[in-house]
Amino acid sequence: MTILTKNTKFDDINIGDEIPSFEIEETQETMDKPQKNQWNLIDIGQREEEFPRGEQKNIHNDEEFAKAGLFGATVNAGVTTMGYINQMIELIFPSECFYNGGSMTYKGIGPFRVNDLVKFTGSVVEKRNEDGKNFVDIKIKGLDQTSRLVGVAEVTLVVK
Amino acid sequence: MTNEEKRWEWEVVEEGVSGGQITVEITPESVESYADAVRNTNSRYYGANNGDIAMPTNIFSDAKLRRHSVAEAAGFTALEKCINNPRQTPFAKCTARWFEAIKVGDKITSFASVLEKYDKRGNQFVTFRVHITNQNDTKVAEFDYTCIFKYAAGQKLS
Repeated sequence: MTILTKNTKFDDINIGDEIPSFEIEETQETMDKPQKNQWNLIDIGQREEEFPRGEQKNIHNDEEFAKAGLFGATVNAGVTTMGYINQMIELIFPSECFYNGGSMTYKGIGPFRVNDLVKFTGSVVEKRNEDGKNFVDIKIKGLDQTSRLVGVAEVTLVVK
Repeated sequence: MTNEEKRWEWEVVEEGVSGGQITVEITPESVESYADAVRNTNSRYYGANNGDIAMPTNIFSDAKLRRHSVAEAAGFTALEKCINNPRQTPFAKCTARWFEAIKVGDKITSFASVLEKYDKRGNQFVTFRVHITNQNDTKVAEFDYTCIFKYAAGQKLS
């Protein structure tokens, strides 16, 4: 088993190689941060002028509202988890590998809730050259502290 | 107010309908704010200069889905935005694709459209596609965001 190191070249990558695991924990404070930074206000469909700060009903920041929902408690945003996976990939490959033909798919399997500590692990499942570009496909899964599957991802990178 | 309560339930969602466009400028502050929100400590996103790249998943901030805009274009109110009995449409999955780098100084224009809706084992899903272009009208990225409009009765994930 080989664990890839930072800026590994395409020719040195093999199917089965692993990328370093990445752990991250959520708290209500960390889940509130995107909203405090204002970047998800519009996405959740509620305008700040109509729903002043603290009165926005969503399952990420409003515990009472979230109780009645599918998950029964606040959960993080799926696209936030994609940001974490982006960060995990950056530990090995520069962000440029996403641009110019890269992709990421994330499927939420279970909720990522307050106090969950999720460990993401992944490995290379394919490498190929298409149209002059070197592609590396990586599969990732995230398990929480009880080994519950939180989500799975497939990442395709363009690697030099 | 009656119009505001014309709920955009799964049954009335139509594929192909698009919401309005928004244009945002990528700034050092927007790059830093997003990186901070997702706790990415990579120094390249802090104090970035013109021409430096944004974190790829920054598209979720710079080109927000804005499903309420699509609902409004269709003549409805998004479920999250209803005054009476608002309901979330939680994330199920998302695929993002990047075609060109997104850099500080770029002006990013985006809009969302309904790509498809489907029923799977009693759960009802809608997939939106967010189309993203830069100031040169070059397609730089897109993402397909699937949310659960209604889940099968009795289902509870814990």
